[in-house]
Amino acid sequence: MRVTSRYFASIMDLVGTDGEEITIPQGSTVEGLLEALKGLHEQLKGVEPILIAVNGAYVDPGTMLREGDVVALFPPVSGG
Amino acid sequence: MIDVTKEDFSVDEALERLRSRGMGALVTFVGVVRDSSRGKAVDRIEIQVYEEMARRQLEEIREEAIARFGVEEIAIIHRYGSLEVSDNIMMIAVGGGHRPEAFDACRWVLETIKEKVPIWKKEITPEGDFWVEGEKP
Repeated sequence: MRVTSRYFASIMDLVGTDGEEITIPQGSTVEGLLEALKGLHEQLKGVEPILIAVNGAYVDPGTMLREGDVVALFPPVSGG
Repeated sequence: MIDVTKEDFSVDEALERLRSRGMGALVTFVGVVRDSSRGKAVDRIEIQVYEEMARRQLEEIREEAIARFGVEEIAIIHRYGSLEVSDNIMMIAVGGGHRPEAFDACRWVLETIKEKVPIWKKEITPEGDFWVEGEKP
């Protein structure tokens, strides 16, 4: 299945793009996607913490992904 | 009222929109760009936002604060893009019956924004550009 990843702030700078489409196995979790992304982008390895939102809501790493989901990866926020 | 915008805002206009007859207290917080950070000079800042998510989170924070503190209405405006020293970054205005709940709600909204809303500051300094990262919630 295909999902869209989006990157923000220092994660965006590390990966060098603000997002991309990724094909992952059906039934993948957020954690599985993160591992796949670390394979694609070695520079993500060892980067902690990474916050993750699916379709605009924070999720746990065990959350199952669905076709078409938008998964955002970003560092702790610093607005306000 | 929630807004995420590149444009500057008027505190007076926001307060006029917020004001209603049941309010005895209007508490306002305005965050502005400081010329230093962690002991180093700052020329300007750039703010990035995940806009769809930020709008939704700000709306949820507004609703939760109204329910939790019993205030009448809350306005939150947060800017993004390139901001100069002394520019407005964001404002929170809380209208409540009395001052205690209005002050408490304003503080809670600010701290919750700093913890949860997907917005990031990058400091542009004479020594380079640095993303500011908050604490993990």
